Amino acid sequence: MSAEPPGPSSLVSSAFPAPPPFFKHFTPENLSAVKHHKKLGTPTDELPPELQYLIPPPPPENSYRCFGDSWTIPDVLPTLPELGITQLYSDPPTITTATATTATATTTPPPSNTRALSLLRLSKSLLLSYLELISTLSLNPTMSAEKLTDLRTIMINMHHLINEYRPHQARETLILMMEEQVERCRRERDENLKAKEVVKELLGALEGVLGVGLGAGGEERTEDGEGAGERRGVNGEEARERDWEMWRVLEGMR
Amino acid sequence: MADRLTQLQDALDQATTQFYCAIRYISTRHEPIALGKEPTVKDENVTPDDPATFEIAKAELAKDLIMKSKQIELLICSLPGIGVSEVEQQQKLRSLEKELQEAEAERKQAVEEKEDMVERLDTVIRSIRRV
Repeated sequence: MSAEPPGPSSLVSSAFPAPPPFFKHFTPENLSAVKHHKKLGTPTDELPPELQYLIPPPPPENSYRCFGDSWTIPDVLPTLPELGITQLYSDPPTITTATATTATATTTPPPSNTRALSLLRLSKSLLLSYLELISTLSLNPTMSAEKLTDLRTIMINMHHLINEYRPHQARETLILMMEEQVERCRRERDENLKAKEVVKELLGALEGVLGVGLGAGGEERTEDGEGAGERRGVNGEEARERDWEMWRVLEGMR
Repeated sequence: MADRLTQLQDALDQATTQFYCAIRYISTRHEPIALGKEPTVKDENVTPDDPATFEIAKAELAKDLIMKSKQIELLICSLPGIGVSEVEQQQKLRSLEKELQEAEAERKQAVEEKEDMVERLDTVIRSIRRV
């Protein structure tokens, strides 16, 4: 970043860095001056230095630093040879220094399968290397450095393999979640349909009790008056009987 | 619970710690041994375990290491989606998306039907109340 002040590095790397010193340049006068210059089309390098700070730097293109680490754009997992680590799990799984072939074995059928196999093999060599380290330590401790680097390489290789596996697992998890969602949707649909059936049955029962065709909701309004009129004609005894029956149905619905 | 990969990574880290611990235990707690014909030299700062305990501890450490290693293997074998290629996953995802849309539409329809029914029941009940 060109606009970064040449201040002490602690400004950049401390946990809560102080604001960069150039924030003092953001005065109303300077801001209007920058606007003025923009209208005139002055190139950034020809501006007075304090005004140059006001113009945001271009976005980084290849890599940037964040929390003390450098990140690449786009964010990719660097291959082991790029990191200067011997890659142990290329097609021949024996420990060879084959740095030529890169990790992406896209031609072999399922990469996840070979990856798991390599992981298994690496875990075996890990234990074996440890055993070798122990025996070296017991016989000649000065020779142990070599074994330690072996162990380190195997460890890094395993972790790298695991990290390569992450996108695969992410997709797999997504598949599982979607399957669950489909399942939930179907269940909800079935439950709703069941509820609908129950309500329908109730409606049927009610209609039977009332002895009136309370069919569609739209006709309800007109039927309301008719039903009431009809009911008045029935004698009191019968009406009470009917009321009781209806209340029983309503009880059962709850 | 963390996902399988994180579990695997943690197990690996634990194995590394165990490696270190085992070596450290052996190097700090072993009995002093005489070098050639010289008398054994005792280090004041080191308190060795007695041979029996030391042997037992050693066996235990070795057992733990093997267990951890087996656990790592188990985790590797149970990694999700082994034997499924990326293309297959993508296809599966796409078909699932379609399925999900269908299911969602069906669900919506069912909800509507139910609401409809409930509304009808509601009007019927209300009319009964008024009577």
